[in-house]
Amino acid sequence: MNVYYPPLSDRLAAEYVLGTLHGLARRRFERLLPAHPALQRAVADWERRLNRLVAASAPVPPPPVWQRLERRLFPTEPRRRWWDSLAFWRGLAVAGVLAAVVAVAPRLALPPGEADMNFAAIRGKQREVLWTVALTDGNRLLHVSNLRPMTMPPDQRCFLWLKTGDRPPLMLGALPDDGSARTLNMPADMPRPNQGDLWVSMQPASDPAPPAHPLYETRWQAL
Amino acid sequence: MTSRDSLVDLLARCALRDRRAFEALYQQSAPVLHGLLLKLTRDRELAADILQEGFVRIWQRAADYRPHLGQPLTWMGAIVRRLAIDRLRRGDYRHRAELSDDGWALVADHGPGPEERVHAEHGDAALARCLETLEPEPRRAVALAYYEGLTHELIARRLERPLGTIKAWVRRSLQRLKTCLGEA
Repeated sequence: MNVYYPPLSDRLAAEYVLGTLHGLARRRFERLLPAHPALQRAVADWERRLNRLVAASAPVPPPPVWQRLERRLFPTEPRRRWWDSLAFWRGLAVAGVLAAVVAVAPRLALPPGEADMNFAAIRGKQREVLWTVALTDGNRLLHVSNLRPMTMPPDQRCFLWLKTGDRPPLMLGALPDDGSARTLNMPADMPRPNQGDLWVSMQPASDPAPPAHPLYETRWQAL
Repeated sequence: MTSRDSLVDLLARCALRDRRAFEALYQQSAPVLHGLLLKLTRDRELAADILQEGFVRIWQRAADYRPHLGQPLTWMGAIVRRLAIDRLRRGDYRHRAELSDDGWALVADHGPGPEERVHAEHGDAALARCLETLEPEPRRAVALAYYEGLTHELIARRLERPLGTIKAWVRRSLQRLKTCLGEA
């Protein structure tokens, strides 16, 4: 598409904002957008025109979303348990016990969802363990531990997603890449985070859209 | 400081990862965005869900906001509306109220109160007035796209008209809206 031809770019921007530009055309348009200020301006103009009703929408007190939002974006340090210890996970990995635990786990395991703790190891291309992930406290806390500091391209981060069936993946959070561990609070409304596969994507930190394919992929093991 | 300045300011501080600014931004803008989402989804649970998702994006993308391109509320509204359209397209609603005959009627039903009319004249009402100038069927096509996130194909099926007709209606209607809003 020739985005330098103003009538066309205006028309595309209008249909993009309205929502009728979709599929391949929308994805192409969104790829062009960051590099074309004229296109950005046309989109902003149409958003101003068509989204006038935003500013004029009658305010309605929001439901108690803030607490959930805060827990999701700014998780606080919870009480520490044995499985919270980074040293514990490192010890496992270094000793090579991790592989044994994962191998044995299915035999010990309760069905996923019934277990006290779900565990997953995310492995790199050489089968090396990059992160360990543990889901505890009735699926409310997700402990992620980066076992080896990684060199990331500028502005890129790794994100952890839950992929269930045909639905687009749901973001669980950003993964540490500096050898640290962190605990994420799962949104209260997330259905059974221990079901489904875990996907890892590498994406611009500012725009982690649900990925179509994972960079790495793994499954939960119940412990 | 006007409220516009303060939202711009809050977004700028969010881009610098200032959590207190984010909380203030939420307090100031969540009610309006929630009102918009109720209008779009007519489903309380889904609206709450998208509101949360929307603020996650607003926090993540605060650095992308460009004050010279538009008002903060328009920018945030576009983010939540796009999320709403994606969810509606996935058929992701459970408790949605019955569809009304004409999506734009909603604007009138839940329109601003008297104290907001001055504000609305520059917003909602101007758009609603311009929509009134469109023929009923093309207006309905635009409404179905805007409020329900329907594609050309789905609008054609809903209105039982050929795809080419729908595309032409939408294109012409947008052009007429632009002219009517005094910006052709």
